[in-house]
Amino acid sequence: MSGVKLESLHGRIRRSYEESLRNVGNHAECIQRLRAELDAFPALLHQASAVNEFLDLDLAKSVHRTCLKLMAFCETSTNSQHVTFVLAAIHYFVNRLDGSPDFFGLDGFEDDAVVVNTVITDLAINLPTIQFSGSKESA
Amino acid sequence: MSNFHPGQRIRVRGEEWQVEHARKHEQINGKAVWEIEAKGLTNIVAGAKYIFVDDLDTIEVVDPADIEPEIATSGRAIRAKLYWEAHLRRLLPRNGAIYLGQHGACQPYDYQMQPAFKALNMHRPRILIGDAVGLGKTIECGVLLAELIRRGKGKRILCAVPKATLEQFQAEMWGRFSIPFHRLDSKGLEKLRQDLPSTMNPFFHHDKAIISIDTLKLKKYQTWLESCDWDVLVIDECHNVADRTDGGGGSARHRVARRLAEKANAVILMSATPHDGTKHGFASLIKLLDRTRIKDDSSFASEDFIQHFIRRTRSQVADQIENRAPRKQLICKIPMTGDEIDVLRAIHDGDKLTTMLSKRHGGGQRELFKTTLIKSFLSSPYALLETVQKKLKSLGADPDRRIKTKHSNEEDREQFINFLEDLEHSIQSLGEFTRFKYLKEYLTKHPTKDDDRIVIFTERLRTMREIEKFLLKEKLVDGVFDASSDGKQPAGRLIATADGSLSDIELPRIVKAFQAKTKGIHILVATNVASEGLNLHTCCHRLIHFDLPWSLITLEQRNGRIDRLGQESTPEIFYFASTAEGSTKHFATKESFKDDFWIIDKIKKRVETASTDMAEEAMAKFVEGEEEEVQNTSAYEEGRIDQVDDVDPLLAMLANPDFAAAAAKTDGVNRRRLPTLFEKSPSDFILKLAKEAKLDVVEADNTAVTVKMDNALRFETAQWPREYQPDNDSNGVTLDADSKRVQSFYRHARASNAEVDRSFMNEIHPLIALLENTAIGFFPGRKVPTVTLKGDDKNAVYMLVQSTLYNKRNDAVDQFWQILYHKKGSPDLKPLFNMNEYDHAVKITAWLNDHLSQIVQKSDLTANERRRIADLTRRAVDTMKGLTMECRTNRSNKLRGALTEEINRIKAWESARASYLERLVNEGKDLQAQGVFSIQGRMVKSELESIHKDSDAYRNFIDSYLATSSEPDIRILGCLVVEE
Repeated sequence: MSGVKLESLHGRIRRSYEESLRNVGNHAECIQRLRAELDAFPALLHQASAVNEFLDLDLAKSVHRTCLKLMAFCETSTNSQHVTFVLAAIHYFVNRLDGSPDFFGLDGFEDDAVVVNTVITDLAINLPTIQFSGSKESA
Repeated sequence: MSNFHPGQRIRVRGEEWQVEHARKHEQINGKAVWEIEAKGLTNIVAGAKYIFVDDLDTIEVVDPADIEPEIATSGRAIRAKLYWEAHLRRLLPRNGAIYLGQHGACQPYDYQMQPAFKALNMHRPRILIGDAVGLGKTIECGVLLAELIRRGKGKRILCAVPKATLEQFQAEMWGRFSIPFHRLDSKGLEKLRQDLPSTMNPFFHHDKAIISIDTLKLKKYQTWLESCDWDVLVIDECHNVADRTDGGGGSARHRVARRLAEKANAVILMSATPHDGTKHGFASLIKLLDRTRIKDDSSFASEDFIQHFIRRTRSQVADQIENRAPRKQLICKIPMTGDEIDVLRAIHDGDKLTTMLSKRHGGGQRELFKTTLIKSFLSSPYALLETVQKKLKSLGADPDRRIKTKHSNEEDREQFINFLEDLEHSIQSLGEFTRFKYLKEYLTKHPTKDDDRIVIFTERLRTMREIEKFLLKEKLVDGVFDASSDGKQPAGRLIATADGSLSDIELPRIVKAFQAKTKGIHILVATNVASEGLNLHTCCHRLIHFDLPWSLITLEQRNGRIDRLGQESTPEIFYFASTAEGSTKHFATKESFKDDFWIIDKIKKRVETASTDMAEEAMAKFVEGEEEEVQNTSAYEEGRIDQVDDVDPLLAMLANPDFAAAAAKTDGVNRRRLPTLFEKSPSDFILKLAKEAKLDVVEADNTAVTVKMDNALRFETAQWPREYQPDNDSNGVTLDADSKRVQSFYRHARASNAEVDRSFMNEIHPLIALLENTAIGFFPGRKVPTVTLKGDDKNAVYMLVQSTLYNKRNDAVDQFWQILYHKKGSPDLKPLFNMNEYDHAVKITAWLNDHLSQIVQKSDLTANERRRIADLTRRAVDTMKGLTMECRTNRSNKLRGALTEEINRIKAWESARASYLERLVNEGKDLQAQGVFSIQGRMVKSELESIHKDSDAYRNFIDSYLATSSEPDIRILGCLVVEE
């Protein structure tokens, strides 16, 4: 069965993603919770950028948009295992203290982009026009 | 919840206050509480200082647009000018130029500005100043500290220095740069412990503290040190905190240095001998500055650390320093007596020693003990006697105390004891030590004078004591200086001895008395405890190495005590070297015979094979530990001597002229003047302020003023270090801007052991801060100085506005001034200056000076003028906020590239370091399989597991120090209205 190649993720990113996988639980509940968190994200980002002008806002917004699309995928997909991996990736994104804390320094969303990218690539998910502004995402 | 910043106006309990310090505390329940230290501005609380906590009081931030213009045209708007000047003096410089350094009470050479310039142009000023001895590293440190303080980055500073230089470092920082360090010697700490509740952290009490490294490492202070952080950490003679355990976690000194460096923003390390002969040791110092510079502790290149390193040798700066005669050095060849040679031969040839120790511990141990004995003898027969007797005691040679050691063979032990007893007998039957004869002859021919003292260095405590006894017996001195007493000392020419057993109170007392012409210490006999950092050159130009250290670094550090900048006479250095050469009793195996000339030969070989600079670098090979360690590590020393001819690639790199040039290179130092509205003289601001505030200030001349004592000054000076507080009966405090005069006062005071009655008038002097507060108090609360001007542009309004960006630590990061101009009828306020330019404040100052010449004297503003200002304040605040946000964006765009590059470099380092550590772990496993356990293995694993912490630390730095809030603090500082 196809899945996410965890070995392609390194160190803390992998550990943190594994932690997210453990947190997924019931899909319906998880989708509801994560959707609420995705909705609250722009406000959080605005707040964070008010005290850190170095945040890569473009990348953060881009990953956020992709996560919204992934959420739509979860709501429609019938492949339960894929949904688990995708929900874990969204969980990773909304988790502020993940592999590289999101609102810290200037590269806090690079790891989120890597995780989301890996999930999309490994699961061969077709999302309509994904546009990341960061250099790491070419999915 | 509001954010609070220093300088903000707040309203609490019905009165207005100005925030001086604001700290945010996270509570256990996750709620944040602000602790605000504020000074009262209005009515009954004016001038009073209080601390508020926002969950107990309602604290309201006063709207910056809510102002009350107050006409200030009298005396050519002098009050307004003083008020603006006080703010101007606190405006943060916005570039890495040197503003204050060149104005210290010293004659700073260009090269002395460079370390500060290099450090100020780093995001995190972290630098190792490795200049050769005597080039003025303390001054370089002072320049950098003054600049950091002026930039608001040096509020809390901890200086860790050797105990011998505590007082000297403190005095230099105060005398030259007006930086008030509180000395936390054992007396100072004890007093603090008495004064403070037992639960209070004494390291929080003073913002600027100086403490001995040996005190810092004490276990009882570790918990307190853990819980406080510092803006700047200074470690003088930093080679003493290098990790010499080859990855074993380091000494207590190293561990405490590492913890402090992790928590400090800026780190300044200083040592003329930063390299201790091992790559690991040097790497450990670089890692104190930046842990992400070294991937592999055993192999790294200059480009890995050059960013944090500066080193100049005397020859590299020869064109800048005064033309002084080079030191005179004389090797005094002292032939040993036949009996002395016999003793030395006995040690070299000791068959019993050889047999016994070979059986017990193998050849290495034999060489170790042999070297210990040789080294002791080359210091003095008394030192050898002490070593032999100690060994006999430990072997149980005393029949009453004999114990059987399980490792030794009884027969061998008896043989060894017999050998030592024979040696003891031979030493005891020696006549007068020949070197004593030479010492007596020299001191009789060239006696000491009040202003011409001698310092004698020796390796051994016992030798030091014997020299003291001998000089007293021969009446070459009249008495002994009692370091334990601060009171009256014996009359006449005194001798003082300095060794590691002296406390951090006694040692500086000796040094101070040695420097003072009025005190009678004519001869100072010291072990290596006095060989680092001390300034002994002020009344001493003669130095005797009674014995030769086996460490080139110690030799150079010793010489550096008298051969340094400011030495007015030609330094004369005598090396007492015993030789067996020419003796009929000299033995055949000369090559292996170790007398003082064997040491000199080793040194010469090194010097001959390198240029002078390279020789200096080569000395880095021999740095050694504290005195007590040296006593017991002769084999270690021996091992190092044997390594002389091995070329360490790093040392070769340090000695490489290209690297030397790179380490010494910085771009031309950018020196600027701080903007001021009072150009006439440095004391002009104080005198005019005194007149306006009716302060009792007397002008001594154009450059010096005395501020008479009043309650405010008494309160202020009570916060100063106890050593610099004026006496109770003092008239006041004198500030002098004449650098040369202040230096001469300090020189005179040092020579006569008197107190200096004046301080250098530096912008960062605490008294100046008090005076600035007085000027700011002219317009308390909502009041804003307003002046009316002549001009054709009727009814135009100019507003002087200041904005400040704060980081998460509540430190001001960037600050701007602006003049917003409003033409009557115009919809907008127009900024007159480009705030992105570093020197926009200088231009604004010139603009203000120019416009203040067009003042129209008025007793009050017209109703129309008041209305005009009231209509504009909100727009002025908003406009300034918008302009500040543009500057914030520009700044982040400018920095982003460099920060991204740095983050990427750290990521690459993280991966390379992890590979290196994994390799070590695997090597450790192989060793473990062979039954070898190493503590390093555990350290490596632990580092590997937490490797991400180092890159996180940099992200944390960006987050806490560089990132700023989008809510700048805006203040309208003044209004200028063109009359109707």
